[in-house]
Amino acid sequence: MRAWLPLVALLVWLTIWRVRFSAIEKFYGLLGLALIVTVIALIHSGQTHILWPEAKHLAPPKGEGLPTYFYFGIALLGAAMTPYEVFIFSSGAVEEGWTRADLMVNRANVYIGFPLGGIISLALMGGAAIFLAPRGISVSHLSQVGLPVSAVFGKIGLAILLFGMGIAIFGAALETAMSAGYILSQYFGWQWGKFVRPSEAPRFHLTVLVTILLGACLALTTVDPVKVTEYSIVLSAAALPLTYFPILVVANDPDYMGDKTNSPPLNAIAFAYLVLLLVVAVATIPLMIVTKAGQ
Amino acid sequence: MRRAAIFVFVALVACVAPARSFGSFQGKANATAKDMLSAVETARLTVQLTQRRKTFSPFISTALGETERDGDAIAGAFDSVQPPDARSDKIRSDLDQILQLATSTLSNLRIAARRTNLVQLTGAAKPLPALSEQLQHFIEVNQ
Repeated sequence: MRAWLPLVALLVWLTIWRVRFSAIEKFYGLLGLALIVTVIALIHSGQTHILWPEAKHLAPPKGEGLPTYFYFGIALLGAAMTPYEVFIFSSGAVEEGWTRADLMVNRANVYIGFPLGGIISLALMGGAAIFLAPRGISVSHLSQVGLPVSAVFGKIGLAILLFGMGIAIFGAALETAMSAGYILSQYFGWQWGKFVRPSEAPRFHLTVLVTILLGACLALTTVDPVKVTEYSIVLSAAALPLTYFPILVVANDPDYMGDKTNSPPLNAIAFAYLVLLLVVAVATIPLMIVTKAGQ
Repeated sequence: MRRAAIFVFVALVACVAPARSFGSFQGKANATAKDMLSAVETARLTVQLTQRRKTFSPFISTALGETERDGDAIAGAFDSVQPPDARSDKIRSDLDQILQLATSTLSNLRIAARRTNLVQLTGAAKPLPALSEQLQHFIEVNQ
């Protein structure tokens, strides 16, 4: 059943070993846009009006307590912003040798790309709320995510969705493996990155390889990958202030940022967000215990 | 060491605690019925989409294989819960009958899906609506 896993692990390693960072970023980023099919399917279903009353009324669904509601809220926050992304993004800036000229591209990424990812996530949830929740289906497998798109667009829609999901999952495997290499190498002061030859950054590449092997071994066990992801994103949310706060400090340091330090209004928003992240960090573990991890 | 501690912590959080009272057992039975309803309805929707030729054979096989595994796990977990009194025995017996029918139906669906036999799949799916109704009724009664 999972015999193909070593092959995928090999493909992940080969991609990281052989393909340039910018090529990985552009190829998987652009092809991942296939997931927009979830947004189109939701709109095409003509049933989005069902979602509005619940969206306007912010309260737990019937039969769900406030602690569980907030636990899943934290899970969503953790899924949208995990600490490893900070490392892959900042290391990517060095890998690609960003300059001031790249600011526009990155602003577009932040103001268009990130919200687009959020809209796709909302469409996935909206599809589940319309097609699955009324039947009493609680999503616990990736295959269930395909059912709403399949119901609206049939085989073509499902094929596009599965392609997009495959790209997104493969891209996430690349990102997390490389991120492990960046985090460990930068912490211990080793030479890192794909901008130097592998022989010049052996410990970085060894870390990436070991991470891929460990991931493949974990996937070969009977551990539910969705549960592992759920727990890891919740615990990531708890750790978010540890990565967010240093970035906020650097964003206000003219030695690093020159004349591009945060403006006072931006700092006010950033500080409010930091407070939110601190509350989340404090509440995560107690909520996990009280709700038995959202059960 | 820290990772091991986190793993143990998560495992402990996810553990099923024993039922010490009728209310607790009833709550577990209700949660079990909801989980099984989710598996049954997933299978039902998958079969409906298959009948309308809106999905692929490998996808159907995967989806129905997962619902079968879910069903077995749900029934197995409930069977391991100790009923605390006679009233709980009655609930256990009622739900067990539905769970057994559900798991065998989900197995039949997986077998038919792997044979890519639409006629067999349609036949195997016949008990699903009744199963769904029974589970919903059980959930309402034991809320």
